[in-house]
Amino acid sequence: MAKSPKKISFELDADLLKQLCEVQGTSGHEL
Amino acid sequence: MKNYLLQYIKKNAKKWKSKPEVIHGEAFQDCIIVKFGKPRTVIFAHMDTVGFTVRYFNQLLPVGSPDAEPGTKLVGRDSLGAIECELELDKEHHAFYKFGRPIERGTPLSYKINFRESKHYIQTAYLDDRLGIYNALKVAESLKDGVIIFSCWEEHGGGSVPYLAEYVYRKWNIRQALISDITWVSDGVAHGKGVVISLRDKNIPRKSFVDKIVAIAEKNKIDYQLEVEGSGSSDGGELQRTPFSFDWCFVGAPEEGAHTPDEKVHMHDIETMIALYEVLMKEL
Repeated sequence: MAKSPKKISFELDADLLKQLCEVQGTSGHEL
Repeated sequence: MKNYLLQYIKKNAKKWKSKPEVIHGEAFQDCIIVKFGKPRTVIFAHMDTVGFTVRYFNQLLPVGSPDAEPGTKLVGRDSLGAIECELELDKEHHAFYKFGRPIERGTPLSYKINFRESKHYIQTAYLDDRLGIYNALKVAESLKDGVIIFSCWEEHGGGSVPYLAEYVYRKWNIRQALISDITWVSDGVAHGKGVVISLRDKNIPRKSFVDKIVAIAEKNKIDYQLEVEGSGSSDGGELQRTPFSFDWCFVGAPEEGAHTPDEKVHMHDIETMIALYEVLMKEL
């Protein structure tokens, strides 16, 4: 019998992603 | 960004399944290497921010390839304080800022963030490549063996990947790399159809390695889309030009509005990106 697609439990950590987007580079290299 | 990530790792690594070794310092400039167990594969996620540098008068020069409309809000800071100004463009597409005072030469300016979350989408500036960083941090939570590298300069010519690649190759004999970055929705790649496995962009990775990645996605029944492009590049292109025998593949969610203040990615593509990286780091 074919396996059903793998069930993935997913919850986006929107706070972390928002923080990552908001962090500005601290040097010209990163910016 | 470097300091934020170092603090995040220090705080959160206690909860991760394996305790990593964090390597950084002057020899690595602003880059960070995070090593878990006995690594076979390295994830590269770049930390660059496209935007502008203040030139002379009110002129702006691009950092990377920003794509923004006149009136876009730009933020930054110089010795006189915080800056929130507006982008102006002339007919020849030269960029300028509009602000109540002169901004010091060399000041970097980036898009003001407007983060929007809906049932199916995330929309904000800098999903390229903060989402690639997010993916790496989520994979880190359960990673047993592997290396994560946060790299610099991907958006403007590169330069850090060669010495980072040499370090992991010589130190741990790693020759497999995954590029955790964001690609484009196109005529052949859609929102919501799954993570993209890129067969090629301007650079062409080794087919046998890409085939392995596709087989692992198939075996684990993870939704994916195959990308075939003739332009665009990533840290993978830099890896290919190192004198070390790295196999690499770009694996990442697709976005609409690349390098604009309104990059947009579907939740399912984020979900499948993380799921695929988790199995790739185990099975490669």
